[in-house]
Amino acid sequence: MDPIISVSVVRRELRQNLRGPAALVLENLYLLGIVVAAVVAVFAYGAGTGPGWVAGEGGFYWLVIIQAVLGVVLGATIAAPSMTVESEQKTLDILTTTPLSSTGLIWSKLLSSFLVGAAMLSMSVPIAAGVFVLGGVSLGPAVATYVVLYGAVALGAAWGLFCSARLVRTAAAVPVAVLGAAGIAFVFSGLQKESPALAAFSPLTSVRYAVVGQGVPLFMAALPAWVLSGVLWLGAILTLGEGAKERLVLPPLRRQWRVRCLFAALAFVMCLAAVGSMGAVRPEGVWSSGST
Amino acid sequence: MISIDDLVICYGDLVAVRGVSLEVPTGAVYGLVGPNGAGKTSLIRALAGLLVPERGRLSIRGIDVQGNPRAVRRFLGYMPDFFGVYDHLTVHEYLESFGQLYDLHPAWLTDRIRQVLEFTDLTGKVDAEVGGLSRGMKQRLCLARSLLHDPDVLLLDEPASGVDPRGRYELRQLIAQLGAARKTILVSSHILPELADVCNSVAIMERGNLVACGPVASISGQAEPVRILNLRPLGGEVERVREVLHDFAPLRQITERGNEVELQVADRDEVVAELVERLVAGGVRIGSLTEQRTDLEEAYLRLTHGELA
Repeated sequence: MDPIISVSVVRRELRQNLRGPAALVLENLYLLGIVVAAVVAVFAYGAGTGPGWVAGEGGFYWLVIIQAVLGVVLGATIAAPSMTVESEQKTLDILTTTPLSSTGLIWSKLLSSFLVGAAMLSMSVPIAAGVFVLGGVSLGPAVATYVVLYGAVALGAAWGLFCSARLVRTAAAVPVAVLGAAGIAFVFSGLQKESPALAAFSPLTSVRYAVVGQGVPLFMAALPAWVLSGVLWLGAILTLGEGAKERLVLPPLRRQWRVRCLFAALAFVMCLAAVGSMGAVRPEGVWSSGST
Repeated sequence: MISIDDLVICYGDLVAVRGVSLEVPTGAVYGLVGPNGAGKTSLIRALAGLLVPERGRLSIRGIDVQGNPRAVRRFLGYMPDFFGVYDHLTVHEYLESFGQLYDLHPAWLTDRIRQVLEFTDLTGKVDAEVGGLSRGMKQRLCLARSLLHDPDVLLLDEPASGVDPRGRYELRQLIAQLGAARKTILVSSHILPELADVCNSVAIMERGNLVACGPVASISGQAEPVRILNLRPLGGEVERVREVLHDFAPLRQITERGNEVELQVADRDEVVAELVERLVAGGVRIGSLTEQRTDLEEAYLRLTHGELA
């Protein structure tokens, strides 16, 4: 039986994604964004004027919320071009003529996209740890939060890969994947009052539970998002497996208007959701419970 | 070794390959010739399992390409006409990653990478980034990659496209060496001298049809219903030649080329003898009379009309 994951493809993808000037710029921009977010969050919660643990707790909370959004978007951004670029740059033909199966290819792409996103997330741990100095966050919730964040990256990667397998062109796959990923985070999270079950599919909600606790076990908080992620993984694999050769060699007629409509609809929904959900994700428990 | 039976490939309403049947025997270096749009690439891509044909049966070493593509890939090396590379990898990493896809044993793979780099003269570039290689080097790297798993069958689609003359010469030498190593090679090109030098058989395609196929000598013969003679009359008496030969029945065509005349006559020795007698009797002084060898290029031009599918 053939291995599901091709170490060769994973290694090559990591080398491709983590080398070169573009990777260096992306990594540094990401870290810079995290630093800025951490500083703003900590000062917004009265660092230097109020109790240190309040600033530490609030700062950590908003930092991981931002990281959750970035994680899911980052995962999608990395994974979205992974198949389409192979097709556009004519490397997929060569891969297709090796014994590597379609399933092996897509699982390997998924793993490598996740690993790149996870590596970037890991790089931000020392920055996030800076807020621990102020107190207010214990080890348990911090670890739980990072587990959820890695899940968010996996979710984003799965969604990005799904877009990559479906949309054939990078120019279509990347914006749809990014907007969709942000939509997954914001839209589901914004449904917290109307439908807590649906809201649980957002990594933002999972992060909130992980930080605040609220009596919900971690795996229950993170599970819905990971289930959705699993469904998308499966969808991506089935999409690529089904008639893969025909689609890659003879792309279907490009219905550009469809892609544009989808793009516009996603952008509209995301804008509405972003505005509506920012208040909804604000965890009352962080401040009202006075957890230390 | 390679068997193509009644192959039909369509792109929507466009029929790219029309009922082509072809047998490429084991160890042959088979050239696929034709103008752009003749269907060569489609045929090769179908053999590589990258295209699902509308109709027909393709088999390599007796294994059905459509029925069991993964089994075929184990002993198939494919070099496309246009291909990309992974720019940020080094040459060694690039080859290593593909070698691993064929489950080659690490020790054997290391040795094999060294061999194919030597063969393609890329040993000095082993640690260079693939993105920094010239077009010719990338072509050779692609050939090296297709040889990594030591395949019995090679499908080379326009291997020398976009390569400078020296690069073309080197690639020709490499293909000739592979042919000498008894690899079965199907190589397409529209640069005929490339194929004439290295192939022992050719197939000529036009508008998706197979116009002719067989050993190079046989193809040249198929396209030679006439014998072409170059005559240089002394004193530039070209008009006199026309006058003398105007009622010479076996003469098919007469073309002036400066001080020379190209004569196309029926392909029989008696006709040539009679032609010389008539010219001498007509007072034409013959400076030289040579027979023009009809090579593959000539055959190709005669058999095709430059029409697209």
